[in-house]
Amino acid sequence: MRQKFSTWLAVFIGIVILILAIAFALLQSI
Amino acid sequence: MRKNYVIKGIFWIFVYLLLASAPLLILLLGKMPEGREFWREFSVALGFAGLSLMSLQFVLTARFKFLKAPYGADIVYHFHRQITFVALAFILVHPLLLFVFSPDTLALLNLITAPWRARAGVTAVVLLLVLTGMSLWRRKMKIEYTRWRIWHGILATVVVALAVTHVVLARHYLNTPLKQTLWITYGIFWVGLLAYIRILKPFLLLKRPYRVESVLPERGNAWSLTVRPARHSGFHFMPGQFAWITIGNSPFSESEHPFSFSSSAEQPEMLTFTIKELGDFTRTIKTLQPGQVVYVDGPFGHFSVDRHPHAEQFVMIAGGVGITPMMSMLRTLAHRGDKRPLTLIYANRDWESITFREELERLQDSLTLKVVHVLEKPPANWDGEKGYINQAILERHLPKSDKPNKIEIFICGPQPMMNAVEQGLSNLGIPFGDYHSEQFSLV
Repeated sequence: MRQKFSTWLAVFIGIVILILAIAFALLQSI
Repeated sequence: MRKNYVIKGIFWIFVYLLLASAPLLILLLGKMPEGREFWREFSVALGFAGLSLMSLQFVLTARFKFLKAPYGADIVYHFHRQITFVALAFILVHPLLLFVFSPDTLALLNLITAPWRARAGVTAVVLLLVLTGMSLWRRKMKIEYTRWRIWHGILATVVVALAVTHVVLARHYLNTPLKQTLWITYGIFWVGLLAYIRILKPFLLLKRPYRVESVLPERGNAWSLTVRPARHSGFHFMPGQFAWITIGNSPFSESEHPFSFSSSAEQPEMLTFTIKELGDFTRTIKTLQPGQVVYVDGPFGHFSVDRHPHAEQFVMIAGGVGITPMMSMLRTLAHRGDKRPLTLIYANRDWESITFREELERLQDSLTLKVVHVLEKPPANWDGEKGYINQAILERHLPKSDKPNKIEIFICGPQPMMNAVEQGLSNLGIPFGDYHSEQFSLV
């Protein structure tokens, strides 16, 4: 149960960074 | 107190996110290099993000108490494990995008003809896969824990060093002094962190050795190792916490293992760890002699009655050697003359293997303690609970209360038991915040 917290936290952080990476790429390639 | 930990917990998640995304954010500052197509830039961004996450792994495993306090050490280690998959995915997609959208980059895989930046990058990825595989399948590959830990540290350091070399040699995003400063700062931070973990921390421990006082056998194939601080005052701990122990040699040794205190927190001048014989290292505990030097790095962990002073009663649910932190809590509460009601639900294989059986009987005289033994293989005349701890057993013995946050429940034992108990408590409608567990067998 507690481990689900760290799994979802890792997923959340992964998604946030993925969005930032897409934004970075968009800004750079425009 | 709980609110305080929640705020700290959210704060450190925010800091982590900021540090993880810092390279991407700072690269956008100042003069940008000439823009390239989206997929190439996206690939580069994923590479930077992956490197950033991998570097932060050293922070997660550096045993900073301020970082572990809000969550518990097991959560931090489990997060360390889970975020590896995220970082690994970013790092693997980084070259794959290049291969797909610029097939000529496939030539970079030929390490004989490839430039040094590609050699460093490809080697880093291969070693990262080895590192992850060794951690996921350590037991299947029959790699002994201490040996694994040494290689885990070496490979992780080499992977990050090679990845930074890859970035520096690629040069594309080092076009301004600001960005060069960023990567130099990044390097200094990382080397400093490694120096703290591998040199400064062991050096500080070296000045605070402990000596073995006694090693006593316990029921259930366990040994109680008692140590005393040698020429220093030791440290205070909360009952239920744990420490890393290094036996003999020096604190620079990688052969250290985490164990819960079983002694009372009211007697910090004498630390006892009760250790079950489960592997190569734990089998050596009984061979320790009084006077031998050990190093104790601690305390760590959030699993303690002391974090819940508001509680009106406590329930402890233990399986086998999971009794150790509970014993520390019970002994401490007895020392303090605490009269709050306590329930201990304690699962063991059979009557003879119940660690601390006699002392638990004695503790019922000084504490308001109800002990419920659950035996997998009970004796013929046993009229107590049988089998494994399940929802029905919990329902029969948990104290009734309609006030949340007044009964705090602690769970420690083998992972299947903890999963079953947590599921049972959840089914019984116990709020998630009212039960606490900590486990350490992550690799």
